Amino acid sequence: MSKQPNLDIVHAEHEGIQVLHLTGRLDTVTSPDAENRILEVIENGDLIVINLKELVFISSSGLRLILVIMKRAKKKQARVIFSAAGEHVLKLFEISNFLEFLELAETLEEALERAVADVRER
Amino acid sequence: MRERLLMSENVDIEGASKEKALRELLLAGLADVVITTTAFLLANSSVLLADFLKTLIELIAITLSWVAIRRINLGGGKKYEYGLGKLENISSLFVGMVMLLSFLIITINALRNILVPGHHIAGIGIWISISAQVVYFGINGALYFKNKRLSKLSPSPLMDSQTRLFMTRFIGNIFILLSLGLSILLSAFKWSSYIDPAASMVIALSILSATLGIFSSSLYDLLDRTLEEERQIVILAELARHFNEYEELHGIRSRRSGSRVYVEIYLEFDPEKKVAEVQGVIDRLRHSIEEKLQGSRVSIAMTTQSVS
Repeated sequence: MSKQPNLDIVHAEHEGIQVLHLTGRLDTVTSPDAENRILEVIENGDLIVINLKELVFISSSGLRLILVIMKRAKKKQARVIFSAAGEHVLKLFEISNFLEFLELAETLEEALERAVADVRER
Repeated sequence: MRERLLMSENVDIEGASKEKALRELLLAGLADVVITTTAFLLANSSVLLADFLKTLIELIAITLSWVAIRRINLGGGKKYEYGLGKLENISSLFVGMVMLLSFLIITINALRNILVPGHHIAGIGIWISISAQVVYFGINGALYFKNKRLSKLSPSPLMDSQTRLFMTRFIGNIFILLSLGLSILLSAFKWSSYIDPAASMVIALSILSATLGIFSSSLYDLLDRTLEEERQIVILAELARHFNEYEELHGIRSRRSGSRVYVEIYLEFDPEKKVAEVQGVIDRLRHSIEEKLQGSRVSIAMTTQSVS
């Protein structure tokens, strides 16, 4: 019996902002599918909020995916804000130098506020 | 016992000094084997048989390490680069098998002497061994206390391992001296004939314990496998540190082979960048990863396609 990948990605839109809610684990099993879905969103939008509130685990594969996302976003000049990351995820971002280039918001509301302000400025 | 020889990238410089150090150890080991062989052949002692086998194992381990480092230093046109990491593990497994055989020989001999008691150790070999043990006791004791003092002044893993090595040898010398001394001093008692085989069993068990350690680590290292999570994160942390110096990350492949770590990174660069600039980024990234991942070889390739 094969184990089902346990990562859910819910895609929503809020005032022209692409919002992705990640729930579960971002690891070797779930990263390939997540990569396709998130990169597709980045291709079609230039303001993305990725909500990590329900992300319970991230492995090195998940970190690699975030690096790939950020490189693609930079190339496309898109803005990506990560919100509500848990303690484990934040710790991993810190030890892997990811805080140097990631934009983080403490809550989803804060991330959306920043993104909305960006939309209005444009 | 086990020499870690293939960890360094500076094989030319470090390899030559390691080869010299091993050659000196080899000569000292040969002298040690001559003494223990003479003592063992001239006495009727299970402990001296165990001491002889232990010394022989050490000589075989040093010889294999010396052969391995010589082969690396001579080079082979770099044709078998991927296999060199395994030479160390295969050598360790061979030493492990000799150790297992030694354990069996000592155990069978000890059991024979316990089941058929009455043998008493005798002969000039005992006095040769006692003399040698007294000399080694002095040398190993002095080196143990010296390393212990240095380790306290500037603690490091290397100093700790040196201190442990000489402490083990020092205790071994005391143990053999005690066992031989008690066997001679208490020879008037019938039960004293059990001291010698019982003491040899203690040495056999210490050999068995080291053998199990060698088998478990060498067999594990012989399997090619992916890198551990913490090492993968080290690679990603370096890619993150150089985030603005490349355009896209198209893939990372990594594997372990013996004590070596091989990493391949596929990056896309700005097509407007000069080759010299790209080369500079590749060199910096490669050096920083190789510095942080001991024993690693990093290759960075330029590509515009995703590599799985």
